[in-house]
Amino acid sequence: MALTALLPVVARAEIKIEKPWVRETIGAGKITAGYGKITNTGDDSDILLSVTTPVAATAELHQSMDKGGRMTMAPVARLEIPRMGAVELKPGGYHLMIMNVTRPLKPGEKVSLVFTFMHAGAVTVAADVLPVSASAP
Amino acid sequence: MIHSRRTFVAALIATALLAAGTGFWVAHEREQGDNRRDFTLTDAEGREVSLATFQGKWALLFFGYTNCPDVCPTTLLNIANTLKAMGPAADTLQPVFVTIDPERDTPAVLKDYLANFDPRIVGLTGTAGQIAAMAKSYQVFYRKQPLDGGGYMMDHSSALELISPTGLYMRAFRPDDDPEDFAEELRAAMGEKR
Repeated sequence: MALTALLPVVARAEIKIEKPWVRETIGAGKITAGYGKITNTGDDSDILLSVTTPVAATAELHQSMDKGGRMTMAPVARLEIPRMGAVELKPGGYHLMIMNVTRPLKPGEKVSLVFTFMHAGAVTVAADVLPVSASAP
Repeated sequence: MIHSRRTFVAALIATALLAAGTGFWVAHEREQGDNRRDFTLTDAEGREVSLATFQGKWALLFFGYTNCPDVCPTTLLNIANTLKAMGPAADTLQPVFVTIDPERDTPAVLKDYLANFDPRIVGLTGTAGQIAAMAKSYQVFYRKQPLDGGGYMMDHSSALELISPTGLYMRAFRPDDDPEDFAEELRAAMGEKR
């Protein structure tokens, strides 16, 4: 009997983080930025709720904005990743503000980032640490 | 003595024009004076500098702070790439990064930070008062944004300010992501001699 025909088709989000990277810390600096492309190949949208990393106390999602000639940053509590779509965290736009880093981060290292999504749950990636003059991986 | 209404009106117009002309001349002179906006700051080697220090080259001032996680490194990288795109014209341009966070950005911190970008970029800091005076002269906005759990970020103006080789304030530029485009704009602005 085709009981499976009675099962509803469940829309799901399929989340991946492409080319995650983190800028190196400078001197005694305890703050840096993290980036990457969040892709959703699923047919349901998802929401990024939080990010953590073992190398820092906090990693918050922020958005840089130029408001009439003034640079500012605002925290982003929930970021929607559309179905069959992507959202890019890149310099000048959305980025992870990684604060109170526990040790200097040097180019060539990899840093673990755990992105927690409403539906997809925890997605862990190894981000490359790049030099401060890098604008892309 | 007024003989007719026409004469009266003509006299009125003549007086108005004379007043306007004088007013324009006075305002223009005042503008020229205002356009030399001096400052006293400290460079990354701890030396005192002023507007006169940069005489002889076009100076491009821009404002930020080293604890900026995202925008300032991006801006510095764009400036470095713009210098490259300008080719030999860059020889007469002096990019100057002025911190609006003098509390944390000491000369040593600036030197260490800027070493990661282009050696042609000069860094300036100063006392809180000196930075405030400079920001007022160049109409630069900056404000602390405290963070939960301690520390702070800064909101600040994004405009880049061009000063002529004789120290006159020329114009502001909005940030341009494209180094080639910005190089074009700068070359065009520098083509005017004053």
